[in-house]
Amino acid sequence: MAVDPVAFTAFSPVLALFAGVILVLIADLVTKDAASNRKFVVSITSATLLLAILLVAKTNDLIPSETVLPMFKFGIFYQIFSIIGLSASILVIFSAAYDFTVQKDLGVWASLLMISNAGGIVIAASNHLLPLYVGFELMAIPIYGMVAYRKRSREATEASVKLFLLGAISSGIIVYGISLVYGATGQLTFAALALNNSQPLKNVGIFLILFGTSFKLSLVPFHWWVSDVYVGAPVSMVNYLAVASKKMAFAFAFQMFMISFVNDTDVWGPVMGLIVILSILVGNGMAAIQNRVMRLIAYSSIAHAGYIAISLVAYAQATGLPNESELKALALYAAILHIVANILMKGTLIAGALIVVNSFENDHMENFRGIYKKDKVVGTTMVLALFSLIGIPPLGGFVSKYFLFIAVVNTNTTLAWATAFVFAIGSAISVYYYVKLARVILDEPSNDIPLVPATPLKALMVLLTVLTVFFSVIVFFITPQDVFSTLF
Amino acid sequence: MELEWFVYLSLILFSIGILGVLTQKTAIRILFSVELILNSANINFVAFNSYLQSTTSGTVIDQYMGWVFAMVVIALAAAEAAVGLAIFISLYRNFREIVVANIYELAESEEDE
Repeated sequence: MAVDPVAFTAFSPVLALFAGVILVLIADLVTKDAASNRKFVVSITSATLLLAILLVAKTNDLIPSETVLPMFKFGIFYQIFSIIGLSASILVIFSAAYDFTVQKDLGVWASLLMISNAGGIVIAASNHLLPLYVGFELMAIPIYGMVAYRKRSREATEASVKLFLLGAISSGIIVYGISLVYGATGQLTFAALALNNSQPLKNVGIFLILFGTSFKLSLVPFHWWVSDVYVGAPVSMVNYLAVASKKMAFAFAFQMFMISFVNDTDVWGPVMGLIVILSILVGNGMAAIQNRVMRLIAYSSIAHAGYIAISLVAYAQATGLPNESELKALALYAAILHIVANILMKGTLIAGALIVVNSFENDHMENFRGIYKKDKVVGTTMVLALFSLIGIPPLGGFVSKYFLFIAVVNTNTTLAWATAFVFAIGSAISVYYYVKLARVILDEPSNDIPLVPATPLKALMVLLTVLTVFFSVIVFFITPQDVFSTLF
Repeated sequence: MELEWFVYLSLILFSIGILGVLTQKTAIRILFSVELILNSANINFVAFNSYLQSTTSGTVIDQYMGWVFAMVVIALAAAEAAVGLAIFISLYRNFREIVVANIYELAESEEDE
């Protein structure tokens, strides 16, 4: 069968990524020492990711007809989530250059990064459960190898085994759920699934898919792998897990629940509400008692996954209300805002943590004491990122949290108010541990070990902080209706 | 054959897989249990497809979607097992065992506070 030129153009971002994979693997062979290898690999990878972003942005005027690619849909949802994943990965590859410094083998890691990104693009482009599941696995499988990349490190291996076993179990549960949904409806396209009525077999399938997805999104009670993996894995890998891959997993969840099971909101909505409430409480509560910064980041990312999932609750509760489509648009808009803000602030925080961990060899909170006095740039950006994570206006975290709160409260149901109440309590608890870390950073230094020099990473942190500060401007240019009207 | 026998078979396999995941302590055995879960889904797909084939309309791909999905799941399970076994070899080299119950260096109750 001849390849249709439209299909070729539509998949050009994925093809560009695979070309980049081949190039970085060659770069590993031809470079002489570790330093030049890093330079080559980082420039090739970031150029490839930028090219993929451009190609994704250009597919706007190219929407293939139903007959050419019936399983895919290249709309604004695809563009937003692909660009989010790809640009977060550029941040990750810059931080990885400071993590894998010993051997000249960064290319293999970067190739896995790009393959995982291709999976993210497939997730965002899917209009059918088959490519959605394939994209999900294509995103997840390279991650297991990326975590275990330091073969001699006992911690990284243990983290990778935990991540692999739980990831494999969750994908097994998801595929069993998909098989039940297929049996109940005989259909797997999103449009057909949305039209189908609720029935017991389909509902069981939806629950299994919800539980499997919660593993990947690190929501309570499926969260216990997170803290161990974040401590054991290389810090730049944590950056990838928390910043890029989790956002792609959210794209998977939105495709699943907001688009395909849109008429079964009364089935998954209440369970999702319970999961969100537990995530916010447990994530914030456990983060408050941690002594190691990576563990603190792990639990705070559980809480933030809960915050983003509030949009799913708001979406489910909006069903049947008079201004349903407006409320749903607001929910998805708030989710996208919080995803972007979370990338900016968590990216800055983890990049700063990477510099500290590289200087001190571990991530105890005592090592962060006096960072501000030692290096003004790292200290200022990290403190601003922490304030943004709390949600202090006018930083990015405030704007996105505000929209999430409005989205859930406007639906005006009991579950929505309970979620909003827990959201407020969770944010209040989070002030304690974020300010504790900020105080440690601003304190007098207790030792005189200097920080490792990392000028490009610092420049990136400054850029992210500037974006965090001016994030609220975005609200004036894009309204919920803009996003939503072209989406469905 | 009735459809429900196949669904019961896959439900039993799925339950055995979940039970194995929860009770087994060796990494390889947990991987076996995951494969059981995936294969139970495959049985479901193929059985449902044979049952639904007379009712579904559309292209050939639509009519055989369950079989296509089963093939894809088999391929993905192979990829997952390949990565997983490589990780288990790395685990064995570092710890000299693959009993995951004995590997808890990252556990939260650490003394280095």
